[in-house]
Amino acid sequence: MFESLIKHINSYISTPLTENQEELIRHSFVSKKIKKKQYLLHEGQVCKYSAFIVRGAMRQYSIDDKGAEHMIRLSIENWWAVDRESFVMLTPSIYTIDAWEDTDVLLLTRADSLNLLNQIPILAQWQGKLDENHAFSAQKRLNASISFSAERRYSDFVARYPEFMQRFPQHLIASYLGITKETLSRIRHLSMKK
Amino acid sequence: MTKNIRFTTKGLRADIGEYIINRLLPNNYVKAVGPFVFLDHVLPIKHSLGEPRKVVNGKGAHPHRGMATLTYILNGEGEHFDSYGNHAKVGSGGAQWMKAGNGVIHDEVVNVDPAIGDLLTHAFQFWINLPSRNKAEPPEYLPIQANEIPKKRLSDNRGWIRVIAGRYENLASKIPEYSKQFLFHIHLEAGMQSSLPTERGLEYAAFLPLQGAVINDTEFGKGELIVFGENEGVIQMHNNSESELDIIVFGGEKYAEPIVAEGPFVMNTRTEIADAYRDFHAGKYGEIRTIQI
Repeated sequence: MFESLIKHINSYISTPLTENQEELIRHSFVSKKIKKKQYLLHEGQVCKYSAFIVRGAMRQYSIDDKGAEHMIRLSIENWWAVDRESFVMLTPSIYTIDAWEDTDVLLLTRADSLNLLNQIPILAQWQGKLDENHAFSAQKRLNASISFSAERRYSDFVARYPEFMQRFPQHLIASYLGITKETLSRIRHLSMKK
Repeated sequence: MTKNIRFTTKGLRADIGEYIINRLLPNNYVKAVGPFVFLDHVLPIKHSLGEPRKVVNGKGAHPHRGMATLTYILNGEGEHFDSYGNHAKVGSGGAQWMKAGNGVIHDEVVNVDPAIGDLLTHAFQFWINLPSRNKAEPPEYLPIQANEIPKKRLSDNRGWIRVIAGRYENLASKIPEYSKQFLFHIHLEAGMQSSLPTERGLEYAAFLPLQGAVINDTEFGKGELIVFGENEGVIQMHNNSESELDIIVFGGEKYAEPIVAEGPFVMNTRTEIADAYRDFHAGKYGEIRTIQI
């Protein structure tokens, strides 16, 4: 259960974790199984956990006045599912997070994450890299959404995240890219002809 | 002698929900002015007649620990609920002080003041740091209506001063203080000037919410926060315009302990921040009940 997490952390830090440090990390996370369509977070709740996905797939979305879901984030193995703003500020979340497949997660509270950073200073490297990567991809996504055509947004997504194409259905990917299902199927149809 | 000006800043937009907010503290230059560690300027908005009123429905509920919030409402009606069962409404010109102490959850809204037909909302939220011993104390809440805020006219019809926190001459705010603090609202009529004496060793800042002014012989624009230096001297304020001028002056004794602020908490160590999160999720701050009997 913890192997993938330890491997994930080690891939971001300059010296691998010691056995003691691994032990501290194991004690800080709680493992949980979330069945398909079950929730990690409901809109209006405070986000208590940051979830590391060991196996499975999750989605984070907002729901508009008409009941339509807008995918803000799709996550699979080695990704995190969390509403960071609610997690840190403790304000009720405007997002819902649920499992798209039967999912195994490792849950970490804010208190345990701060304590871990105090006890294992090298984890700051891991956190810093994750924050950086997150900023880079958020910037790319923002640029794509304000300046790319729907075609280019789709082809970029396929190139960057091929595995997501196997794990999530077209309507979720269309929502993630901010395009309609109809536009997405037209683009796919065209790209197959090329 | 006038006080030196250390720096000025116009803050950064930091909207929360439907409120348009400019965050002036903390900023790139300082973490605090006296015990004040946070200042949000909730920008003035003119609402339309019949616009639905905001209600406290739990969507804005959030905890605090280690500090006190001080909301000063220039225009509008503030409504407050907290997990210690406090509920109050405060109209235009009033203030609400909430000592978070060892942990409380609150939710507040600002609506148009039904008693005044101006359709405006305009407010400030300050966070006042608490000395470590007071961070561990139970929460308290104090609503202060406009007529309870001490006010004095300046001589020769130059304007007035209201004492939201601290003391000025023979005026004293009823807001408790744990280290020396002050928050004054100074109003100068068109063409008038005033000079505020300062006390050695205290930190001072001034904010211009609605229009610019000449302060210590330098011209500043609307929305500027001016933080003064340590030298002894007065704060001279000139209203060279043809309309009235409002100036917010605040500060106090320098906070001597380490400041570790994260999310809604202001503590002295990182461990205390972690504890604050843990205790929140353990339900130790209680919950808000908005249903009134």
